[in-house]
Order: sequence, then C-alpha cells, then structure tokens
Amino acid sequence: MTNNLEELLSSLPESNMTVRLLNGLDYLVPGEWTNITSLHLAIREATGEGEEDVIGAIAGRAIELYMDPDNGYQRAVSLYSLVDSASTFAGFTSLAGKLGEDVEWLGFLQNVTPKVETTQAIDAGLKLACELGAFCITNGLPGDSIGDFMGAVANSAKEDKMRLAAWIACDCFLPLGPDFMLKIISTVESAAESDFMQSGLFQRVADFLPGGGVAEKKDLVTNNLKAAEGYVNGFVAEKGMSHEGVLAKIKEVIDVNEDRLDYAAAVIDMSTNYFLHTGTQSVARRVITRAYGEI
Amino acid sequence: MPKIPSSMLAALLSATLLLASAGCKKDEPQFADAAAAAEKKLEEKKALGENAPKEIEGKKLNAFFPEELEGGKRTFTTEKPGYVEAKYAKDGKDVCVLTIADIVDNADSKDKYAKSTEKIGEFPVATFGKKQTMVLVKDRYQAKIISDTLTHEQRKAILEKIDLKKIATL
Repeated sequence: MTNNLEELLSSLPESNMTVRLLNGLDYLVPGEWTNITSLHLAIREATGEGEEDVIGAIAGRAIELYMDPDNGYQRAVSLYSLVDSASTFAGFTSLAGKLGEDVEWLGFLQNVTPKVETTQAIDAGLKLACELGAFCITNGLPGDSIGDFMGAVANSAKEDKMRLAAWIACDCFLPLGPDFMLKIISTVESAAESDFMQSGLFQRVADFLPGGGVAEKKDLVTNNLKAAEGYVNGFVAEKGMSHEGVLAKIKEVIDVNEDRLDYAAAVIDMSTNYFLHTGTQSVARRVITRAYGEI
Repeated sequence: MPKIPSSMLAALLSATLLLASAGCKKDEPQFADAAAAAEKKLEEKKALGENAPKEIEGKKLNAFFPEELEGGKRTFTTEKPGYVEAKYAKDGKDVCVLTIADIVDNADSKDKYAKSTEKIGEFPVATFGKKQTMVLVKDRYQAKIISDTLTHEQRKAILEKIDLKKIATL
C-alpha cells in the first residue's frame, strides 16, 4: 500500500459495490458521509479552508505526517485493510456453513466451518475492537481506555459514523436480528479461546489488539462490546432501524431473497470493503486535522 | 448438485465484476512536490537515526489545556508525541479547537513568525488563513486557536489565558 496520502485517497473508487452500499445506508446517518477521493477536496471538507496557500501548507504537512511510519497512520490503514480481507474469509465460511445446512451434498461443510452465528458474533465483536485499535493508533488514546474511546465514538462524525452505521446494519442487524448486541455479547463471552483462534479475522488482527494472550484479547473484545452496548442500542432505536428498512436499502445494491438475510449478510461481507474504504477516509481526516493544527 | 439460489449467483457475479472494475484513473497528483519533499525529509530523519530530534511526550502538554474556554467544555481529541488537540464545545456547538505542537521537526511552521508584528508577552503571534491565531513559545512550541466564529482578537485573547511562560520551561 502506498505511503503517499494523496495517492492513497485517489486510489479509492468513486463508484463500486462498497460505495453503492454506503450510499444506500446513508439514510441512517444523513449528511455525515460523502465519498471523498482527493486530498485537495478532503482538506477543504475537513478544515473549511478555501485559500490555496493554506490548503497547500496543510497538504504538505499531512503528506509528511502520513509518510513517516513512526506516526502510526499507515498502520491504522493496514488494520482497516486486514478487517476487510479477513471478512472475505468469514463471509466464505458463513456462506459455506449456510449451504451446508441447506444441502445434504455439502453436509460435510458443517463439520469444518464454525457455526454461523458464532462466526458472525465473534467477527462483529472483533471488528468493533479493531475500530478501537485504529482509533488509538491514529489519535493516541491509551489502548485500554475504553471510556475515552466511547466518548470519542459518541462524538464521532462523518466517515466514522458511516462505518459504524454500516457495521451495525451489515455485520450485526442483518445477520443476527434486532437483539444482536445481546447475542454478540453472550456468544463472545461464552466462546472458547479456540473459537477465537478459528476466526480468520482474529488471526489477522490479533497483533494489533492490546493485551497479551488470547484470553486478554477476548476480554478486551467483550468489555469493548459492553461499553458500546448502550450507544449501539440507542443508535438502533433512534434511527428506527427495522429489517424491512435495512433490507430495502440492501436490495437496491444486491439482489437478495427476502427470507435469506443471512445470505445477504454473507454476500455483503465478501463483496464490499467498507471498513477499508471509510477507514482510509477517516485516517486521512485525522492526519489533515492534525496537519491543520500544526502548520 | 447443490441448490444455490440463482439470485445469489447473480449477486456474487455482479459483485466480482464491480470489484474488478473498481479503481478508475483520476487526475494527476497536485501535491507531487510536497510528496518529494516529504520523502527527502524522511530519508534525512532515517540517516540521523537516534540523533533525530525527539518531540516532547503528548501527556506533558495536556496540563496546558484549560477545562473551559469561552464557556465551552474541553474534549481531548488527539494526543500524539509532540501534538495534543482538544475541542471546546458549548450546548453542542463548537467554540474553538486548541492545539499545542512541538515543531522541533517542522521548521516550515516557524516561517510565518518572521513577519510577525504582534506579541503575547515576549512570544510572537501569527495568523494563517482566516480562522487561526497562533503563538510561538521558545522557538519550539506552538499554541494555536482555530475557530469558525471567533475573531483574531478573540482568539488572541484566549491564547493569553494559556500559561505560555510555563510552556517555555518544558
């Protein structure tokens, strides 16, 4: 992946399945997200500055800050990237598990893939923990400060809010139903360490998460979920999220059979990279904001 | 044969096609010179190794952020080595952002003080664009107020409330 912030933003697609999905879910966080794919525009949007000499100075410093790996911004983008490449695998195992339920011929898949709901729940919890990890890498709050993180999440805006809305809709609500937080927390709490070890996502991101062994990281995921529970449930209630509403938007992007929401979730998981896409935009905003504060 | 729903196959196929066609070419880079300069600077830093200038710990700057400014309550938003940032908001509306930066490795930021005519105590004051007022302490630490609503005079008055003399002792 490039270490040039301008190239990084320019490499984001202006239109693809991910962008269509995010546009479809925009109704959950109206006005928060636009698909910004140029550094110049990102600076104007993040700072409200319009003078070219000011924009040029911000760009110069932002490029410098991003390019130096010691600042951690490249690492945060890598983490977002790993979340999505791993979810491709989780999507595959979920789908394979579903096919196994349906078809005797594929019955053996049941034995080699994790139970669907366990996979979904663990991965959903891990994704939220990765969000905490990426936030701490870019903004520097201590890794164990979940209270600070949730304060910041509650204050979050723009791309962060869009990503959180997509996580709630696609990784939680769609596959697990309206009481998803209860399901996720109880699954993660009762999951064995081996369940975590089996998660492709966990294998990829474990090094990025605070804590020594699997047990500590499992605790982090659990505590993070519990800290987020009130906020997430409030979000669902406030937005009046319903299966019909979410599904109607998803159907604009993917042709899915209405009674197979788990398939829809698996297809989205495999065919979009909304964590990396909006995560890149979030990191760019944070670098730009800092550059603006430093010039 | 397994019964895979045709809608699934169609969705998978269209997803694959869409992913494959992603990443269309954009305009030429606008900030290529800045990227080249950043690369050179990074090389210089690497060459210096352990002797490269070290920025101050972010935590040491936190103490200079008042809990309230202009009635707005503080929320720390960033704490990195050499840079701390907090937002002040009142009734859900942003009042201003205060940043304190150690610009030991960011000499360009000092240029704007060359033409400075204003001071807070002994420290030079500068502006850049329409929304920022900043002060340079000990030729190394820059405190800055950014606000969409406050005037330069108001921003300067806020900077006067920061314990700049103590920052100079860092």
